[in-house]
Amino acid sequence: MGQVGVLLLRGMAGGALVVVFSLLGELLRPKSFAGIFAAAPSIAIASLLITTGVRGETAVHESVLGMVAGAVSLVAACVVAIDSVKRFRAPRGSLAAIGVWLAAAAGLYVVALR
Amino acid sequence: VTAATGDVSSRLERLAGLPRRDLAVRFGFGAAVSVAAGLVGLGLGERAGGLLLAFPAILPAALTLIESREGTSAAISDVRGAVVGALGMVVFALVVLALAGRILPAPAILVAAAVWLVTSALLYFGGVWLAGVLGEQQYLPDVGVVEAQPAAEALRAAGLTVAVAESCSGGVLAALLTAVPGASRVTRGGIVAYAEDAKRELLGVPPEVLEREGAVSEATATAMAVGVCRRMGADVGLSVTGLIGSPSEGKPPGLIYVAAAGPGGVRVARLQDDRGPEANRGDAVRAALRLCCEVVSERPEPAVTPPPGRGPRRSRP
Repeated sequence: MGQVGVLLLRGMAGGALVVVFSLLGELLRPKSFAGIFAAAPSIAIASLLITTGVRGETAVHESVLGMVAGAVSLVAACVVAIDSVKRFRAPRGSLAAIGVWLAAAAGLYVVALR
Repeated sequence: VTAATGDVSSRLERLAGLPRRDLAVRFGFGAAVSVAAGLVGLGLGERAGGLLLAFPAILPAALTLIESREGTSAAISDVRGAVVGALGMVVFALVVLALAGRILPAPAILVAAAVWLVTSALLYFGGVWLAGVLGEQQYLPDVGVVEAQPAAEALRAAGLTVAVAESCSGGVLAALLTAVPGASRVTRGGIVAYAEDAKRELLGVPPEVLEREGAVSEATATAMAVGVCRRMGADVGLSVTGLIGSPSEGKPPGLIYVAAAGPGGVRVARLQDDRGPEANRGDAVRAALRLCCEVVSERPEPAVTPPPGRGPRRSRP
């Protein structure tokens, strides 16, 4: 399978797992518990499984090193989102959280991963 | 068992009723980030691509959709859960790293996914337990004034006035209606009647209704809405009575009756989804605002029978 095919497969699998975890989140209550599924490793599971088959164990190991930094950034983004959504409502509040994720992830990449 | 079955079936119904567009948006975000992670991995190396595996891809779409459907409080509750899920994701990645070289990557990823679920659930329930031990701070519901705007607009357009009778919502509905720009043209005022004798004396709820049906009942909600109309000389009366956080009279927390009395009759909504005190109050206030729009817009006509067990009922005052 060519690189384009692998990318398409990653996209389909990642999108499908995101939908599956979203549906699980919709089924569960209370809302704060269901929110766990908003930060589920759906894309990670799909992408890592495909990376395993296509590029091997070393590539998975490298990806997961990056993912640790991404997940730490995600914790920071979600903590900020609690307050930013309250202040600015969901669309702008969650965009502020994405800004925090980008800054934290870039910082960790430069300091620890490069 | 019947209640549990009903709860599961109502959740499955809600799932089936989810707009396809919502799911398509989430699929699109998930697919786009997955492809982006692959492209970054090819261009800058797997570590850089791996960063994107924890990108908050669906957070903006999910929070915006939740806020539009259930309000800001629900979106904030969701993101509190996302903090726990994100901590679980750190553990997920560490477990994959720890298992590298010991078992094959594919089983390691599946084991890590199971560990993510267990860790997140433990962190969540641990947090709930800790909040209980430390005494969790209670907040009033975060309902935007903008959510009262449609009701105020409908009243203004119809040339009607409104008064509110509140029990468990404690004045939140009145606070919202008086915060809308131009409130003085449509809002007469409100009465917070929390105790049963206050419901009798201030709103004229018949003692036999309170005795027979209880303070948390359709009949009491109706009497409160009709009573506040008369007492305050308003065209439309809204009422809220229910159990916000604790069971009482053998009734469960989250059971709330909301009524709206207008020129065309009375509509009553029964809420029974217990989502915690703050969210329950918010749900009740939103239901009252929705019913207000309905009684203002409706003309006196034969009653429409709603689906069994759900939605508002209509009767003559």
